[in-house]
Amino acid sequence: MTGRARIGIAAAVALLLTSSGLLRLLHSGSWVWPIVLAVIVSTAAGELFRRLIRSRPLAVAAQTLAVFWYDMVLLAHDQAFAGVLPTWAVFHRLGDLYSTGAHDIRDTFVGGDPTPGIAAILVLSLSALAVLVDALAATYAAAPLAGLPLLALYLVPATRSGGGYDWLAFALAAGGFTALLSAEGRDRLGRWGRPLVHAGARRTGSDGKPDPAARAKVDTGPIAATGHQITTLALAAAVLAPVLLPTVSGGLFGIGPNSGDGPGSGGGKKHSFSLKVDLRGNLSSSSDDVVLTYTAPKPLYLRFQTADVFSPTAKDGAFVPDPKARMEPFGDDGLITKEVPGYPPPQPKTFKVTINYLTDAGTQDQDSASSDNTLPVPYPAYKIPSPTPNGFSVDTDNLAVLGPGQVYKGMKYSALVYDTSPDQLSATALNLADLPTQGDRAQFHLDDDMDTDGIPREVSDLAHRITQAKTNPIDKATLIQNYFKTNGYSYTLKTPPAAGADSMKWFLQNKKGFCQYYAETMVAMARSLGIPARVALGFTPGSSPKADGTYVVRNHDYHAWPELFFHGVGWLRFEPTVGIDNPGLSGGNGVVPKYNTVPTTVSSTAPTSTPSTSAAPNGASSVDANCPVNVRKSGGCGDDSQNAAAAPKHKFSWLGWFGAVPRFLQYWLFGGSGYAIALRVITLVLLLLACVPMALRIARRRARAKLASGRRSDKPAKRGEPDTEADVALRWESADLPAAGRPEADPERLRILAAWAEVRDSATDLGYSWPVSETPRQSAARIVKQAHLSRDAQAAMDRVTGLAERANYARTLRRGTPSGAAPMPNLLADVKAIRAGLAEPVSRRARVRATVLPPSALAALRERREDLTGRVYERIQGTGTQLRSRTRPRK
Amino acid sequence: MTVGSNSEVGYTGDPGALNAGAVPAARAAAAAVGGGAGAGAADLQRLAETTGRIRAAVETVIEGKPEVVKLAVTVLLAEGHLLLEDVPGVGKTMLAKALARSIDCTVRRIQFTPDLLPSDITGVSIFDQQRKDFEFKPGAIFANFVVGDEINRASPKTQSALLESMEERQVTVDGTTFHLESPFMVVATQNPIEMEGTYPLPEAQRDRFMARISVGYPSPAAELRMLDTHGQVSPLEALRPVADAAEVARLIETVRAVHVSDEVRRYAIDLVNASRTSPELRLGASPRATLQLVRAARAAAAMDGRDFVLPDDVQKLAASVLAHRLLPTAETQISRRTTEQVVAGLVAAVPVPALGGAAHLRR
Repeated sequence: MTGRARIGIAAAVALLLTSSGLLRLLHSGSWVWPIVLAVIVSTAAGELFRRLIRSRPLAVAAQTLAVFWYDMVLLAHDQAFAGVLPTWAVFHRLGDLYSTGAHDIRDTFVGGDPTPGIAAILVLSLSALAVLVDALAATYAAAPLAGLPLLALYLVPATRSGGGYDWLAFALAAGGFTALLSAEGRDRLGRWGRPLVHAGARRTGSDGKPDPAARAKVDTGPIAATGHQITTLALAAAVLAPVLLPTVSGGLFGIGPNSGDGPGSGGGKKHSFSLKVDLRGNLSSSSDDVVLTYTAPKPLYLRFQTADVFSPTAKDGAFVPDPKARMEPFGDDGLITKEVPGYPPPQPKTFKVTINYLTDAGTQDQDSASSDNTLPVPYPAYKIPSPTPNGFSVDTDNLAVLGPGQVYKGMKYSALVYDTSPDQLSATALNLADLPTQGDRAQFHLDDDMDTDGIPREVSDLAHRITQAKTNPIDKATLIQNYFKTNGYSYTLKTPPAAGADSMKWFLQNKKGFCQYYAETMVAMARSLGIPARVALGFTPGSSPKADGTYVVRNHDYHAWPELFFHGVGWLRFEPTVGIDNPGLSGGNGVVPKYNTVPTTVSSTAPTSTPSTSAAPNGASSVDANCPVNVRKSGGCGDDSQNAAAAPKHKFSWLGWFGAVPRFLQYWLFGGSGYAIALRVITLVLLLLACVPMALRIARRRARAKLASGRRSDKPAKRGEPDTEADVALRWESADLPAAGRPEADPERLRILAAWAEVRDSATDLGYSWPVSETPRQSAARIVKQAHLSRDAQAAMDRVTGLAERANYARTLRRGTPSGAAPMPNLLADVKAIRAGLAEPVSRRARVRATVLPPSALAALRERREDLTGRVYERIQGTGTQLRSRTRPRK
Repeated sequence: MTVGSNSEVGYTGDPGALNAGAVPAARAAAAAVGGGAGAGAADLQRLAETTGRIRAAVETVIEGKPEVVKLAVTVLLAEGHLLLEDVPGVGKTMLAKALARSIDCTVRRIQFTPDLLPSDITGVSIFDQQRKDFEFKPGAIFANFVVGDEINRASPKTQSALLESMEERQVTVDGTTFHLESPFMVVATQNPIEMEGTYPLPEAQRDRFMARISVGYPSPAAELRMLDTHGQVSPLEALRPVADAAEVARLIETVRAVHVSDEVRRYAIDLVNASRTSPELRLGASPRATLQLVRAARAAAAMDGRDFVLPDDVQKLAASVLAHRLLPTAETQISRRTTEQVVAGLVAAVPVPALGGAAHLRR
């Protein structure tokens, strides 16, 4: 290992040790590994580019690019082309992630699991730090300066976590930095100190060859030992002094009497989910604690309550729950409803959901006078069988479950739920859906949900404008739902505290907001079209199901979405929030529903506006729930027709059957989490790189065999006679040195040289030395002796060596004896015999190495790389000189 | 003895412009096999036979030193001069004499002493009373073989009289230039031990010798054989010539036709260049050294039966041809490394060039 590489590794270790302090702020979890890999990628890239590129700024730039690529694959691979090539969308995504994360940090940096935003910021900033530390310490050989970024990193947890700090964290960070300094000092001493050895004795060994062992061996032992002693003393003093000195109370590390027990429990303050539609507090104030888990056959939206009443002047949100809700106690065996409101007969199938409530946070509306709690259940629930929760009743209009009963941490209840997911609805029924009738309004109490008083003109105008192409209200609703996605809306928690109708205006103007803005605006737009609509409050389905079908719902899954009523169908859920189905963007785990209004029997005459309905009739939405996670994440399920990454199913259809290959790559190489993709791509690239020498060796062997067999004649016209295929014997007379030409131009000589080069490379691959200062004859004689070649192989070696000598140095290939030409040897057979003979005494390991990592190919690659970097460097230098000479004023 | 031979002999000259007599035959032989340019197979065979005879003859006198004899013959065929440097009594003079005697040609021996005058070597013009004109009395240098014994005992002035004749194969006395015969070879001996009252050869003069050979002590077995033979009759007296001057001139012509590829030329240049840049040396080898190295390699290749030079030939001769021209640094002297060892180190370090060609043929 070179000194530079050692410094690079020490820098990486120091960075990781220093960053271990972050574990005090955040629970360790799967977010740690991407960071470790980022540091490894940075260090490896730094070492690689330092070797490849002489110019230091260029090397650092290349390293930065490599690390950025890793971050991109990790965090924004679904925006990248083919998962691995950057696009502009990647930068938007990274920017969004960063701002979300920054917001999370500002408001909620207390502990628990990091939100995706925070995890993204950690990866990005630690990648940047890794590049910086590596560049400073190794590339620019200024390890002490690398202490500054390390100090900054150390200070993050030290200042953010309240009471005192960990002596262990300090010791780890200090130890890492010391190791870095020590590695650098060693390297520096290695360059500086040179023992005075006599030139003659040092230069060459006893055999007259340069003696590498005598070089660069520096005895730095005593100096290094002193350095270690000083460092150890300083470290011990720094750790112990605050504890031992009585005047320093508490100390740096909180070992003293006033030390707090640190955060992590989140404090004792009991908070609650706001049931007025102001989610900002809930979405932002949350650490990412688990709210509940549920077990279900498919992802479900769990709902607290709906906000039906539009109050454009309200303080917090435009919609509030109906204060005059019609409450009824549970029916027999916890029955909620026998009929799904407005759903066409027959009633849908039901399935069972088991919910486990896991947080201290209550579900009561803090601002209202009543002390009602609400129980999160999916819509529409059939019954909550025994034990039916005590003290709860059912709101018959929206089937919400609320009451003075208790919702407590550890509460476990199950529910039977009607399956009204989009795939259960027949396209025919959806096709016949219509605006509500008078009967509907009376039966389902839709008046509140159709109230359009105070809805801003902009909203209703927009609604009419974007839906005029459609007549079916469900199609209109789908158009509204998709409108935001296709018109550059983005997700952000950074919004001004606008309320009521003003928030909608602000939202339409600025094209950004969080779920509340999307939901309320869509509800308002739907109402202005005459579609009854309400805002539902609850949770998105939560993170990916575990193997047993358990979903984990966290604080950041708190969500608002619109529910729209249609005659003949009932209430349908929509999902206008941009990016809610992308965990990286909004932290959401939402599912965008798709309602297919085109029955399969009806051939559509008019082109439908949503590509998905025409491209994937029926069943397209059922894929949503059932397709594997990695496929869904890569957009493979076509769960969103408007999303650019959503149509890969048909992306390669033009390739026909061969499209399977890119599809395979897309699903298995570029599917899954960014971390998995990065690992896979890095592994693949390393494997491919490892194959390069072997491939080069094989290619060379082939080319030489072809050349040596004489089938390829480089200059067939030169001799004026065509080279016949069968004529593979050497044609001696043609090999006379041309009067005015280089011997290389002669094809017969090239045949011999190819055979000779193959013998040479075979020998070096198998571990025989082949010094450049040896003549062919000397090398051959030595190797014959070393390998104990058989008589036949020896004869072959003699023949090839003799020919090689002649080809290299003689005027003619013919023998100078009166007997004339020697017998014509079969070059290929000779080379084969020699190779077999050489391989015989060699160990199996050496033979495998000769095949997999042939030294000759490695040497060739190194030579070629030196050529290349040398040329590039000269080009750059030349350009620089040119520029300078141009800019310099002439005298 | 002929003085002022018919044509001038140049090192780089046209092979055809050599001594009369031998040339047409050699050219004809070369043309018969080699296609006009190369050394013919028949020539090479003749060369092998003749040199074999000469070596065998000399080895009857110098027992157990075949490689020294071979090197001496190589220098003869390469048109060089030989410097024999060794302690007294190992047969330096004997070798020189034997080599001269084995070939039927004119031989002169000069015993160098401090009072030897330059005119003793080159010759002197004497006024002829009858003809009323100056007549040139040629000196000892006018011979095919000149054996200069104990060359470092003569005064520098006398030594330098050798300079012109050795390098240019001509003698200028009183403004008249006389060409020397071919073959022309100076075999000088010197004793490195008894340095009292000697004038060590200056670098310029050492450079004119193609090779320096140390004869070295014979092996006990060879010494025993020597006691047997030398006891009764001097083998030198019994030595009969096995070749004549014309024959040797023809062999020289054959050697000149040996092919030296660009690669081998480059190798010789690389080696000499390495001696110039080596930190162990104060003075590297001259361009003349390159020239003589290649020429000696030609002769060695021909004696090996080849019509082309291998890098092996260059390597084998490098120490003999280069070592005596190099000046070691003080450090090298202190560490007791001889210039021969330095040259061996250079040979072990300088890469042997081979033909280039396509990328996959290179390394």
